[in-house]
Amino acid sequence: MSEQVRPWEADTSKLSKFEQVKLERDGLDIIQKIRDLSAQGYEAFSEDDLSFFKWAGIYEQKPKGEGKFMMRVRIPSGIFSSEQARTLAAIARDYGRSVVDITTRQAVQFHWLETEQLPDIFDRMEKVGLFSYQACGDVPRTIVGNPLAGIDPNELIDTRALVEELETYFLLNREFSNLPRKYKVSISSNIYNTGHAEINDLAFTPATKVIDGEEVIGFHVWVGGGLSAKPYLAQRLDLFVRPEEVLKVAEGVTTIFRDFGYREKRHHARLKFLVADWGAEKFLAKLTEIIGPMESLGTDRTVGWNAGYFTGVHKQKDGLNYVGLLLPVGRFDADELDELARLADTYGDGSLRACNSQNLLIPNVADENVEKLLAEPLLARLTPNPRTFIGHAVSCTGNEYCNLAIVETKERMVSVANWLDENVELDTPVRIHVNGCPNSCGQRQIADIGLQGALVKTENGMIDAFDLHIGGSLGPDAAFNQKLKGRVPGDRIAPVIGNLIEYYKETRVEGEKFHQTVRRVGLEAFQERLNVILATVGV
Amino acid sequence: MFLYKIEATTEENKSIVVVVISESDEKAFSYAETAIRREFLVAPKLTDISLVEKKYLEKGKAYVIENAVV
Ligand code: SF4
Repeated sequence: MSEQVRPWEADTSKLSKFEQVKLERDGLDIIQKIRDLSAQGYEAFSEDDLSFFKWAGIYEQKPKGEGKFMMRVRIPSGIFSSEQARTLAAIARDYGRSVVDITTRQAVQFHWLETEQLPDIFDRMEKVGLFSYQACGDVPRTIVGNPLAGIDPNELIDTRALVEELETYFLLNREFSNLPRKYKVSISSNIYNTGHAEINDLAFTPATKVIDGEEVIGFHVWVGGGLSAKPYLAQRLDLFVRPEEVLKVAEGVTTIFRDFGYREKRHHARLKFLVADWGAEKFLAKLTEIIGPMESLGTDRTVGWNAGYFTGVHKQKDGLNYVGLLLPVGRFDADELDELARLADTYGDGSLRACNSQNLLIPNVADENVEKLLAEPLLARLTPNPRTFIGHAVSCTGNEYCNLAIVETKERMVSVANWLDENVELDTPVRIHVNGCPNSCGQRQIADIGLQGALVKTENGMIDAFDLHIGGSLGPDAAFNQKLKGRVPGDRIAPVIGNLIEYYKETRVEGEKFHQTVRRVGLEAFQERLNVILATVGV
Repeated sequence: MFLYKIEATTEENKSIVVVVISESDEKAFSYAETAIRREFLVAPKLTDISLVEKKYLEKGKAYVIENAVV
């Protein structure tokens, strides 16, 4: 970082404890320190060092203190190559007990890593242009985007170059390596909101505007969204951005966050709190001061929300096909990832794409290769034609690896979805998400049905249980789901949800999605139904 | 060591929130139950007790209990 005094450095008395530590050292320095000390093992790192591991994309895995780590790898816009996939698979196989996860922000996660292995992992990834740096920490995180960028019949423009431009600008940029808190950016030109705009700190969404008699394709800008325990939907600024202005706007918004974002309490530091206090108008005035005047709003071109689901065989805009595959709750193993790389090379153009629904797709498959790809044994598990519930199930990491988790999540989600697929007939997808604690890595607030774990004490000991939240969505009718009263034991959750879905089927009007029915008939109607269900099943 | 948030309901349908430090989930329940017994003249009968959140124990870590009666 340059020598100039930043606004928050002028009076440090009110900074949080961790902010005081951040004044003393740049978070990114940890990368070199890990390279220098890792051979000496876990003990070589102080507690402060370990809290900066996040800047290198590394968290301590459960149980904390035993020297095992989770690593997150940036996959901007979810786009990666078969060569990168093989590198990731080899790392997982050699160091991570073969476990590979796809996250709700299109990133890849490993588990079980040890300090001694980290430099080799950094080197292997750097060789193929992959980075875990800034995948966590108070920095610009990986940029989420349209997994179909460049091939999408539903995008106004190809956003790959813009994502790349921002990725290159922000990665390892020490001007922005000390933000008040994590900072998430989304860019998509898909009219079905594939970038989940409203839950990012900064999002660019498709828009057009007639300027000097000509229709210009560009973006609208949203700021201050985010989930965790206090979720906020982003607010739209009165701004139209041409593609060539995206970097300027991103730099301006990030500068505002860096210089004016709150640093007194870490739970009150995300950009959403500043935006909530300032409002969109004041925020835009400050942005204009920094980057100069911009065009005002054009026409919003977002027409709906597909929730990031692409399973099945679909035509690309160039006549080739993409094949969207289910990856149940985002988890697979190194062999499967290797095999996916082979399939991408054999039937596609050697590229793969990760979706923020924790799934994957193989793009650029010629017509004559589609049937051959569909006949591959791997696609029996990673199916392009999943059943309804497992095909729309999202889960956070849960207590298998996460220190803050209250309950197990991934296996639970799979068993709930499978039960529902066996027992409930449904023609419209209902999206179910599960979080193992209030922190929302599983994005339960945007689900049709969101589960949040709690531990309940019973005569037979502690059992996993879940609170139900219903009616969430993003897109033009974006709203978070709302909590129903009544905590449901884990082993009863599937039939209880099944019963609520029967109620949806009885109540919906034609073509109505689950969240739309919830909003039309009201939470209270579903609550009454739940009360009856709970009384009946003796929960 | 963690700072736990535990929710309980009494037979009279009163909600109680207990914030307790503990080394494990299991012990957090028993500390919370002890705290409830000590708090009231007549220990209330609980119809349910659940652990809903845990945070690393560090200076400044807290829970804000909304809708608390003061
Ligand atoms: S939501 Fe909670 S339990 Fe799940 S991964 Fe995030 S912090 Fe862990």
